[in-house]
Amino acid sequence: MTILYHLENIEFSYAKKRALHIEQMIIHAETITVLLGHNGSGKSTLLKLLAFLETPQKGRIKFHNEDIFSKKHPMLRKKIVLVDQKPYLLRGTVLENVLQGLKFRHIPATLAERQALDTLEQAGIHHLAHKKATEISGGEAQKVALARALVLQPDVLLLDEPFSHLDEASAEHISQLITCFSRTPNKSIIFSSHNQKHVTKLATQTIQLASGTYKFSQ
Amino acid sequence: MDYFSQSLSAAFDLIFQFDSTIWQIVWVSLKISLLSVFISSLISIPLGALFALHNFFGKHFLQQLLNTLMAVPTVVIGLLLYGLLSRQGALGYFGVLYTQTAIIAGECLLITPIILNLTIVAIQSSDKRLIPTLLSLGANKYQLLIRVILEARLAIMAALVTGFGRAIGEVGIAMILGGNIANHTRTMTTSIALETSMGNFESGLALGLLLLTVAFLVNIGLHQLQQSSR
Repeated sequence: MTILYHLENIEFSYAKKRALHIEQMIIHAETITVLLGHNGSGKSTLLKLLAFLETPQKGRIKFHNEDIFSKKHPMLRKKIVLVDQKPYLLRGTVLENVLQGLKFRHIPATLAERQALDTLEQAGIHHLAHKKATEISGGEAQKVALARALVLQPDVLLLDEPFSHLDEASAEHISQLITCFSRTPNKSIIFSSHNQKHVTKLATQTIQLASGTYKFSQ
Repeated sequence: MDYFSQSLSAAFDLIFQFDSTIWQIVWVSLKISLLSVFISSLISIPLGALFALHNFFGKHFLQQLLNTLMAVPTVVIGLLLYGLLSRQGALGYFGVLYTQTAIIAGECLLITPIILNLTIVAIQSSDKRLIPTLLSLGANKYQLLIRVILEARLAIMAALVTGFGRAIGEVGIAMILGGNIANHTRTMTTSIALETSMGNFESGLALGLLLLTVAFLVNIGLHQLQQSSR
């Protein structure tokens, strides 16, 4: 199995409070990896490190066996997408939100719009396309953020508590979308969750964090 | 009270008779103020966004300095620029003293710290999730800057209106650098000062009312823009 991430001696603190300490962790490519742990166990922080949106104070992270030093590494920005637990939706419509990442990649407008509408349909929120992002519910916002990430077809999709604001039917639908995405070649998914049901159903690798500490990888 | 109401009635007459002298003054004021805001915004908005997005040595000190510059009296700016633009001054060669260009330069100096500072505050008050979201969607530095400005556009628009209000309402710069020349550099504020000193209270009052109307219309325009871009 190819190694996607290799983390060694990672230390990360907010101000002076230690949020994460990882001796060694390996995450395999083309898997669905689930991060488990109670509130404050460092799952969200770990996802931010894996998205290279934060830089650890100590230790190193290898991505595809390559040392990554800068969180502004241009290559990573096109390969890894993180969907936050409480996603921020940009001003404008839902469709404009889903189009934004494609615009950053200079995808021609007609093609981008077709891809965005297709993804919204897959996510079951096609009817929201022209609604203002400020006027939708928390659960809908989570689906929009997921659609906004899926349309980019990233190599690594990072999801922070993707089922937290969803009802049972929507959670089932999202879980199907995740499974479907993971079947595409060269795609890896890492998500954090409290929901044991989805974990058992989806996970091919699980990582248990306890108070921000992880000691070894299985 | 009689004096005031008679003057007010005469002022309305002047406005609705479409007195060309008065409308020429209104046009000069609007042109100078709008151009000043336009030029200043070209500098202040991108600079403000860069300032807000980056941490560097001396940032806190610079922000304090900008806060101070927001309160500089207009006559001080007028005086400093007069020294530079007068024939003996370092920029006297350009011969722009007592022209609209000189007033625009002065008003740009006056409102740039205001628009810059308010842009910085607008961007610094944006949602903390905005930048990680944009980075995660693949924005490069330039795309990030543009998108951050667009997200804060409502507050930035308010900054522009504040700048416009300061520019159209100031008198020191227009008087010192423009010289209050009829049909050329006479603005609403310099004209109000002149007419009142000459005893033409109704003309001054007419211009004062127009000044208030312009400010009111600009605020309505901003409100409409804010509603449509929500």
